[in-house]
This record gives sequence, C-alpha cells and structure tokens, in this order.
Amino acid sequence: MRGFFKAYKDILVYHDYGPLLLFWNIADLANNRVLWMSYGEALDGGNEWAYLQYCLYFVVALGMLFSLPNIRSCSRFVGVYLLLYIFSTTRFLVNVFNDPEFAAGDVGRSLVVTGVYFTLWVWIYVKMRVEVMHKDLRG
Amino acid sequence: MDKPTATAAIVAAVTGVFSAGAFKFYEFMLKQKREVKKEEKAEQALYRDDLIKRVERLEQERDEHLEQIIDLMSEVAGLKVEVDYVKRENEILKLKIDSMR
Repeated sequence: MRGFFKAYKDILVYHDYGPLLLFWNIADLANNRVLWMSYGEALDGGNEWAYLQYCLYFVVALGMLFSLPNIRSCSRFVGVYLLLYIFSTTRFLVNVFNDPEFAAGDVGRSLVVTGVYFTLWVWIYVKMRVEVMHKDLRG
Repeated sequence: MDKPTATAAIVAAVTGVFSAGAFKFYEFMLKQKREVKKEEKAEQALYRDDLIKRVERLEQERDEHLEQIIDLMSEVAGLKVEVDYVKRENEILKLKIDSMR
C-alpha cells in the first residue's frame, strides 16, 4: 500500500509537466468564452467584466502556448495565469459569502474543481520555477 | 471597482508578492547548499591532490632505493669473488710455508 502511494508521489515529483501543459493549454484556449461569444453578447448579459477577464486568460494562455519552448518566459506566463486564477477565485468566494442568492448555486462542486485546477497550476508553476533556478545556478 | 473585485485584486497582489518572496528565499537556500557542496568538493580535491603527490614521492623514493639495492648487490657479488680469491691465495701461501719448513 505504501509503495502504491509512493508511486503517486514519484509521479508528482519526477514526471515532467511539458506535455500536460501543452494539451491543457490548447484545451484551455479552445474552451475560452472569447472564441464562442462576442463582446456584444456579453454586454447584453451584463457580463462585460467576466468577458474582459476571459480576454486576459486568453492572452496569457496564448503567451504560454507560444513561449512553451522557453521555460523562463513560460513560467512568467504561468505565474500571471495563477494570479488571474487567484483573483477570479477570490472574487467568486467573496460573492459566495456576501450574496445569498449566489451561494445557493452549485458552489461546493465549483470550489472542489477550482481547488484541483489551482493545485495543478501551482504544481506546474513550482516545477518550472525550480527548474529555472537550477538552470541559473548551473550557469 | 466594486468591493469583490477590489478584495480579489488585493488578495492576488499579496499572494504574488509573498510567493515571489518565498521563491527568492528558496533560491537563496539553494545557493547556500550549492556553496557548501562546492567547498566540500574543493576540500576533497585538495585531499586527493595531496594523496597523489605523496604516492608520486613514495614511488620515486622506491625507485631510488631499488637502484641503490642493485648497486649494493653488484658490489657484494664483486666482494665475494675477491674474498674467494684472497682465501684461495691464502691457502696456497699456507701450503708454500709448510713445504719450506
């Protein structure tokens, strides 16, 4: 049983994030609302801020995709992506605590999914930064 | 900017600053570890170089001593021959003295 869990730990510690980041990035871009919704539609629905946020996500995801071969630049984009993620999650949480109508929705599921995605991005970011640091130290 | 947005922006900024600090600290720790390892390696290299020098010196001394032993052995062999010759001459002289008596 211990070996089973150690195998998972080894996957997290030693396996590379590159292919995961590439496919996740493409999926993230394809899933972005900017591609499937016009600004006018967002404006009509009163979601212009959310649309702007999705625009930012889109730009950062594009940056990530094109800077993937250069780990230093890519880690910066991942950092910005994480900050955006923290921003939108905090905004969501503040709305949950302040707005009873908002809290009545499927909040639990959203939070679990957000938590898992957040862990994924933190894992990728930490791995990248550590790799950059080791590269810097090696000279 | 509404309240949730402002709160979220502040939280994101604070997290960004703290994580940047944490990574700087981690980088500092890594550098320190690397320096310690470098020093240890340098010490090991110093010890190894000293050992190599000692082995070279000992080998040189051994070669010199071997040469000395070879010289001494040839000298001893020469002396043995000389002693045998002197012994034989002594025996002849003894016999000559006996026959004169």
